[in-house]
Amino acid sequence: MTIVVLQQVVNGVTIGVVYALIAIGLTLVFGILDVINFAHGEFYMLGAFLTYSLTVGLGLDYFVALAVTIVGSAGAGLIAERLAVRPLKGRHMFTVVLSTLGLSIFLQNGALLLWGPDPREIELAWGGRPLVLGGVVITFLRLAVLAMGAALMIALTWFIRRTRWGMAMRAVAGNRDAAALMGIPVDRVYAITFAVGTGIAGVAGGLLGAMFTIEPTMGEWAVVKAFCVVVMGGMGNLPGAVLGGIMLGVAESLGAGFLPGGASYKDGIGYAILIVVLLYSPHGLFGRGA
Amino acid sequence: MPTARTAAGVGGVAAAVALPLLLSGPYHRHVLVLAGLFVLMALGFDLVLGYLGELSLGHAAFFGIGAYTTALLTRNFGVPFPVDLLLAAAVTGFFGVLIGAPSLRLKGPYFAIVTFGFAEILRLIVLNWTSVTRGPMGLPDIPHIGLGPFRVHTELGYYYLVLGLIGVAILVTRRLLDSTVGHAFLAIRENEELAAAAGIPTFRFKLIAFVIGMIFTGAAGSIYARYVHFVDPTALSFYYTVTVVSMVIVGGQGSIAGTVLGALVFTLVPEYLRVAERARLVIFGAFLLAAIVFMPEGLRGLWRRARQGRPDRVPA
Repeated sequence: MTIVVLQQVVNGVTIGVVYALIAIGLTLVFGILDVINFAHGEFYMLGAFLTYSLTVGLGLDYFVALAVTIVGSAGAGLIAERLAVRPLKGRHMFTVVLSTLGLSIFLQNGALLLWGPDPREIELAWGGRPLVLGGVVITFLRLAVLAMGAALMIALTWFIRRTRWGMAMRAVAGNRDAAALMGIPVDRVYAITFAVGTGIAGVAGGLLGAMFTIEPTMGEWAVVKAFCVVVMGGMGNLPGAVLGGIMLGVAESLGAGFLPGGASYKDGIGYAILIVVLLYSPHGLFGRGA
Repeated sequence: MPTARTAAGVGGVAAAVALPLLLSGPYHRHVLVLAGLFVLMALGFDLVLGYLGELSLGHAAFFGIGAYTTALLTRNFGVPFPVDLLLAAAVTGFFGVLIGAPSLRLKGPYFAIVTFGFAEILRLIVLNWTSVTRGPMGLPDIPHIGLGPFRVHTELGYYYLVLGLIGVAILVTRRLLDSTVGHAFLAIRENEELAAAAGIPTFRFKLIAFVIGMIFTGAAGSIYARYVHFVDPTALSFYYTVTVVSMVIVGGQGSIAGTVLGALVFTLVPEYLRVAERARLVIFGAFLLAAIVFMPEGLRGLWRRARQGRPDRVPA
């Protein structure tokens, strides 16, 4: 029994790391631009398809493909910010929500047109090889996902804490007008924030795409999970998103395994957490942070 | 200009009554019925967005509750026409209280996301509670409306029925807005703290607006189930919510005329885009995006600006 539980926890943590990677961008954009980006999941989807095209189509190495994916999906984010978010600066939040919904419909159906509705697989020769630790099985791919996830989070923390642009992002998050008066180019900070978020979401797509199948509608599901995670962590709270992602992954994995009817209501776990957290502790589970 | 407004209203009603008679063929009339149902949903939605200033992302769930209530009542118990509509409205109103009461304690993005969460949970329940809802297979064979010797079974019949309901919804909205309740709504939208400080029981009024809006939406769902004879869990899908949000924001929130106009545009455009087949939703997404980026204040803002000459260009 304990082995089974441990196995579910290990599986949950790997999925949770991917959830966290998706949610990081969403929470960053909310914290700094004050925008709920409903199109965020589509960059995760684009990342998955980019990785797929580069590995299966062009035969590139998986890790090289992931590196290209991060640049590619960050670039897509830059264009999207320019077209769908920046022109609406200063408008009501709801107007921007609707514009990101339009962007999401456009990207998702564009991908459907380009790649068709069939699920695809990013197959890796080494990915499925298992490592057995005291009865708990973990594949090399999942280990790679954990390592990459941790590396990305460390890199992002460094970027935000130590670089000039990171400092500018924190300044804008703290007080946009004061930051602008200090000469910080707020528009560029917005664009960079957006691109960082979509870039990381793209990598998450490449990582999860190797564990499961990918399809053009996967972004819809991802953005919803990311919302749950962002709410759990507190909207705009970066470490909260990481913790929240892992918690959601584990909760779903255990819930699907052990609750009666858990498999069909697995997605409901996230919504239930979302509602309870919003109603009882709207700033997230970890207090007001970052 | 009350006379100009009355004239516009009379003109609008005349146009709405005459429109289906000018169109030939069942397809165009079918599109008009859909447009009418969307107008009804959008009017309900605008009560929350336009007059309370809160964005509900759970709207489709209420449409689905109305549709499923009618489907279950007519299929399982043979409940006749006006009764199932009234019960559908009541059940939707009940869910409006159930979901609105906790959600309306939150504001802005929090309210938007929590309503989304509730709607998705309802959708999952409808999808998985197969013994009652038959899950993804949906509920077929919902009977047409029969009221004594009258039977509503043509597009035209449904169109005028929906038009009547829209009329009721507009009257209720107008009466509400002209009353103390309506003034309280506006006070709440402009400054909730101040309204509360002035002794307005803000929460109760917000709940009233929310529940009434959801009742309109549930009524639309009830008629929809009758009209297409079939309801499945896609009736609760987020796509409908997005469509209604688009209608109201692009049309012009807080305005009955803007809402009606927006609902027409956002029914007709996706419907007639069917000729584009697979590219349909790509074009729709681009259209929606362009509509917001180029007219962030909606059609109504465009209209106002055209009438006032160019007030947005303030000389430096």
